[in-house]
Amino acid sequence: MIKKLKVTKKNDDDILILNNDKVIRDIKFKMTGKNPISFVDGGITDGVCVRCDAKPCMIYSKEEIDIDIIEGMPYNNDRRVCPSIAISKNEQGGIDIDPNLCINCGVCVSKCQSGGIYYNNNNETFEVNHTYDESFKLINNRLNPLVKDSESQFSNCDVILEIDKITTGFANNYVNKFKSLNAGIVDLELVLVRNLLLEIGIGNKVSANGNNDLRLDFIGVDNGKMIPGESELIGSDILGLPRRILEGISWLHSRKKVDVTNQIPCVVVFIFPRKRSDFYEVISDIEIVTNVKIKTLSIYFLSIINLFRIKLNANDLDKYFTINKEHQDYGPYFKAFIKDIKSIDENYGTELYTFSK
Amino acid sequence: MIKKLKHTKEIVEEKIQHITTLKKLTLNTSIQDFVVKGTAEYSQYTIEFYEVIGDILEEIGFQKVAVTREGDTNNRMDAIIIDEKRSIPIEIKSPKEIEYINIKSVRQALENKIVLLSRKFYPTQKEVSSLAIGFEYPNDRSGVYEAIDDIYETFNISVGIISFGSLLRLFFEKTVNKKEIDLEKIYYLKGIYND
Repeated sequence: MIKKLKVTKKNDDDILILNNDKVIRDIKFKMTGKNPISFVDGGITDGVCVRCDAKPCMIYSKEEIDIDIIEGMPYNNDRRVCPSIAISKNEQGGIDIDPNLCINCGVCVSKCQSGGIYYNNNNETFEVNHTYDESFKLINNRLNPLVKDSESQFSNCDVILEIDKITTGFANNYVNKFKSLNAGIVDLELVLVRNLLLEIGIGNKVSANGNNDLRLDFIGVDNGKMIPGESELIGSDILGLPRRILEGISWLHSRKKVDVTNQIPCVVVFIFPRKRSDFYEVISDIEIVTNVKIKTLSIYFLSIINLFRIKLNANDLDKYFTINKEHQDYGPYFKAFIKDIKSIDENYGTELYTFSK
Repeated sequence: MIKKLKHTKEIVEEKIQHITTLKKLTLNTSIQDFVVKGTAEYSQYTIEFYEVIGDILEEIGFQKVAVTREGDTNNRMDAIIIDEKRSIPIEIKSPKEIEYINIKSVRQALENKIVLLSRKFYPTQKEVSSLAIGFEYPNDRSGVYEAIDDIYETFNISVGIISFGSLLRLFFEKTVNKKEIDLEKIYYLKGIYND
């Protein structure tokens, strides 16, 4: 049995590194408690916040954010990783997650290389592990070469996903907390969309608050294709999404000389609109009349895809995600990327996957 | 199909009432004064605003205009000029909703046209305009005019915008000055209606 030791140091210059004799085999990410780190010597410990310098779970680097899409366009350059500002630096130099603010989007989880952010299935939210055993040691010099060695082990090791259950509590927290926090946190919705798209491999920028130069909520680019986007996660204008994206397409085509055939227009929703709403029919109408095929992305889908560390590209967006009069069930799209999703996710078949009743 | 249309008798009575009101306002006055009085008369109403627009359009020469009830979200368009070949969908913004025609009105007009072309509940042609009618024209910096150009360049769909004041002028020209209104200009309107 490995004895757990409590964090005792209070100095934010301290950093946790692996002991010299520890070589990581892999880190497992589950949705049931702390993330186990396996060592080649057969030992095992829990992933922990190592108080790293870069804090990739808190802030994007400029290189990650500064994607060249349309020259001279003012974008939202907020580099925060956590859309709901739940993550803060603590006195020890590590990070904490405020459970009242964490919406369960999971963006930070894939950013933490040491497996320190885990899903607490009792509280049904993400938390940070600060307890560690003798596999680690605290050192007081961040310039010590051992720090780099330790960090490179985390960044280069295999991540094994053992997600075999996603609970209704996880999804309920996600929807309800987003709903309750959205109005009070600046750009929560747009930063959430941007970050999840970034994490799944779609470089994108979102509009700057109060600046209407970018006539879209976001614009992505991948493999030479432009991805104009509009989002309405919880708001009342879901039915307005198709016409909003049409105007964005025309702006991109007419003003920025991006041919319509070179655009993959996407709208992002959280809860799918009601079956009886005109949303699905209008998307079909648009395709019939203009040949524009609007893709519908679900924020829940993006989060799950990110938890599974799956990357998408422009071709995936082009091939999948058509929601229209004939096709209103998102399940097949999940299955195309996560085969067993129906048995993994208790929320399968709900309005996170298909039309609301 | 356009649903929730009012009973025919009801429509006829209301039409007579609106036209009578407007005609009274034309007595012994200039076109400018009539426009001022007419806009004042309808500046506080929503349902009546929808109705009077339909009535004016019929009065200036369109054969049949169907107006849906304000707030009826089942229909994609607020009104439609019904024509054997060239029906025109209309998005109406009452002064109680917004004073100036805005970019949302243009987007809705675009969607109305697409829905009509796709569902074909009344005959139309792609080159025939889709109208947004509101109380006042947008200002130059609203982005409305650019959006109309962008939409035309991209989708070859014309969105025309007409203010209530312009409609009142057309009404005055027709009923007082006995001029024939050039409806073709409205059928193919793109951008602002210059009267």
